[in-house]
Amino acid sequence: MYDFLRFVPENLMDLGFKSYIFMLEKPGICGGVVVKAENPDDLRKKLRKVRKNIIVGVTGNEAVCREAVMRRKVDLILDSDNRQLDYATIKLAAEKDVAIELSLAKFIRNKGLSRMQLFERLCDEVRVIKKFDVPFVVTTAAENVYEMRTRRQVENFFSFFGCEIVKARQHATRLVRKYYDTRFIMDGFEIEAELEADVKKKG
Amino acid sequence: MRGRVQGVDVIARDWIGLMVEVVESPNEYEIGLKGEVVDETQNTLRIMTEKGLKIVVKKKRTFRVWYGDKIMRIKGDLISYRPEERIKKGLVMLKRAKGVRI
Repeated sequence: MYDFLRFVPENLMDLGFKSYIFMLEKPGICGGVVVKAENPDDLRKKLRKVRKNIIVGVTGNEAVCREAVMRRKVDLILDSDNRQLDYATIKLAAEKDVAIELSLAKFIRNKGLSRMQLFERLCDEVRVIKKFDVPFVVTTAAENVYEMRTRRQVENFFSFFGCEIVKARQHATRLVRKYYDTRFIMDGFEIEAELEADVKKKG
Repeated sequence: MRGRVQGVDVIARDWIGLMVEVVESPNEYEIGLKGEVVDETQNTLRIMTEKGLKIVVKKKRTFRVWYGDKIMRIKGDLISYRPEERIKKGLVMLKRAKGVRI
């Protein structure tokens, strides 16, 4: 399972994840890009500047998320404290093959009533995700070292709310392989070997 | 980083003449069947194996295909169309899939 972080830590600890994807506003060599937008027009402008072969995550308000789901470049709707996804957006995400991120960090950052409201929202989202078999990933979405958690903690937390962790793992792997595995073409279609390369190796 | 991949059009063409092997199947006796495709319908492939002509259903099977200079692994559900329809449907499928450059 992969974890999607919002920062690059100095010392990466082994927390049980297969690897980490760094979702940054200015992407580095390996990772993804975060597009923050105020409104749908702003999102469209910013998406034009983003290069093609990179994981693109979008964060913003309800209107931005709805627009993002319909954009071909967008792969992931990132989680944030004030993210709100309506029924239609989640349903559309399933059709357009856009993954929805469910993060743990927002529950750590918030307390009291706001945390309770987040739990409530999560339950609603999970129900619709299950109904339409929407691709989703469970992550820490940590913005600093203190928000990082182990894979087991993340999985246990979301499985308590009814998320199918096996599916979340598959979706995360698929998302990463889509961009960083040259042998993966699409679901159920991949290159096993290249004959010329094998002949050269044997020679 | 991903670029253009050669040979992805294998799901957008007919398979007659290609060398295939059944890799995964709910019927364990089908696993390992290997040979040249001699005919194809919407739901089946006719494979000329060492033991003779075998008819294998496409759905719920995974095939290994020798195409050009590549060996590919393809789920039968992706190719379960009539061969003449698949040229169009396969290209649409590839175009709609994110991250695929054809």
